[in-house]
Amino acid sequence: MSFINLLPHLLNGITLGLLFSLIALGFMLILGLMEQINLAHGSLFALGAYFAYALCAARLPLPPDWLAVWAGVPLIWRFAAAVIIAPILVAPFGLILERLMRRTYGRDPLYGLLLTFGVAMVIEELIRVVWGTPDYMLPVPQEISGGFIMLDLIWSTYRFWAAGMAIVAMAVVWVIVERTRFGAMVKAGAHDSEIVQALGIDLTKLRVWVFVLGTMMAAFAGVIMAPLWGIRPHMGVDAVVPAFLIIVLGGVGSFWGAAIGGLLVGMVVGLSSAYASEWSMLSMYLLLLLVVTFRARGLFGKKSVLEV
Amino acid sequence: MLDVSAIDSFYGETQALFSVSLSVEAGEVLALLGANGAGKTTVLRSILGLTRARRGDIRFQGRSITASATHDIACGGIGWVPDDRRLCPTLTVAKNLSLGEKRSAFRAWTLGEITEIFSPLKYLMSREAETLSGGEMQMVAIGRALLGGPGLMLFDEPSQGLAPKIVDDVMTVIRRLKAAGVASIIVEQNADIALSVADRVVVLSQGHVAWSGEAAALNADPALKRRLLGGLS
Repeated sequence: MSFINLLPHLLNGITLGLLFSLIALGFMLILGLMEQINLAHGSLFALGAYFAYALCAARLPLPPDWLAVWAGVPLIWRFAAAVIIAPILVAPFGLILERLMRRTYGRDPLYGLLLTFGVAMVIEELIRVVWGTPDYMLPVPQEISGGFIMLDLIWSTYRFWAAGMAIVAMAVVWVIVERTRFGAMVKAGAHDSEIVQALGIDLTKLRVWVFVLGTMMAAFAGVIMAPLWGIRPHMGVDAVVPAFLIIVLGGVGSFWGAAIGGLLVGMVVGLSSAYASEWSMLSMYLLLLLVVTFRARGLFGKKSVLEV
Repeated sequence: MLDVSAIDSFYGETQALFSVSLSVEAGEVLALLGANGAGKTTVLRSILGLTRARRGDIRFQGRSITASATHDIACGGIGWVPDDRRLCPTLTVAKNLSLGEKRSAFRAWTLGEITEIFSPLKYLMSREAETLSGGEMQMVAIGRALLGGPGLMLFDEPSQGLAPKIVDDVMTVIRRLKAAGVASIIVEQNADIALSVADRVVVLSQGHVAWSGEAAALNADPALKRRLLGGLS
């Protein structure tokens, strides 16, 4: 297999990696400010995918004639609406989860771990109750699906779109975290929650906004990922594990750590699936072992709550 | 302006303050002196609501703040310069300063007024806080509090580990605050530095108020000073 033949696999890996990074970044923002690991973060991702399905497939709890009107809207517009509306619909779930997590702030991370693990189970079961157990495929509009031939290879059009949308979302998050006062408050709050309060910043409100931001990032990734991964009740857990792994790999508290960690994981999974697909999931754990053996704090990490 | 009356504060089950009372008026400088572990920092933390006073009352501008949220207390116009400065190491000086900006009932200092006293800050704006020296960090920590429009400033060990030139600059800030009608409480190990700017003094010992009175009275009576402060001055 020549190098050229690997390029589509590399693109798959990069797309997967960017979406993983987006989930991991939200996970990390929440970890930083709440000092709790949100194991339900993947469930928010899954809800994003299911809501996108409900919007695109016109399976909504609406009166039949309204639904007929919505189903008549061209798929490209329904898909565009899903990209924007699904994360907004998932945001209230993030708000409820944050409210539930409040009692764990400032306590042993084990409490948060148990609570969010329970919430993840609840959301997964809720999904089964509402949508049933079968897998769904998100209908992708013709305009951005299909494939084309370049360099004598077949490329999937949607993967380019997915990578592009993930890059745009990552850029928005970068601007928020690195260039705004809100981002500075989040970083300072993650470093020292007492001093930000003593400077007059309402930490409770800040935590709510960070949770909403993290939730919407996960849900957005869920929408974009749905056509690639398929939609199934267990997809939340399938996403939260790589996200956690990326944070450990890239190092807690670093935007570029999460971005590059995500890309590394994505590319390792993408390339290993080209050679030996049964190794593709194992490969990211091997990568983690390799990095953590030589750099316990991850690639870009500083000291964090994960090191006690 | 600030009235602390008979507060008891605890760290867990350990009582750190026993019926501590003190007050400070607008434009007044109060020195809070005492040995290590006497409870000086705990008084400041109790005022800010970071360590809760379980008994007693703390009033600022006539309003009880004993049970208020820390950010509400800060927004009321109380600025804090902690002894370990507590800057965010990964943020630039400019960002660290901007975190201090808030709405307050009192006049906020401008960046120009701050860099007029702490001139090195002008050239450090884009540096990350973790690369600063101790003195530079102190300038940022004080500037950050001044940008928030304080009516009362709480300085915890402002001279600790600083070069004499920077200690002078810090004293200049305290005198300007005084002239502008802002109250200050200065916690100090170095009693002579504190007594050089203070109007009144409260001496703490093992969580109790051991003495309180005019700074001039303490300065005029070397025997009393030696008895209260021992090796501290």
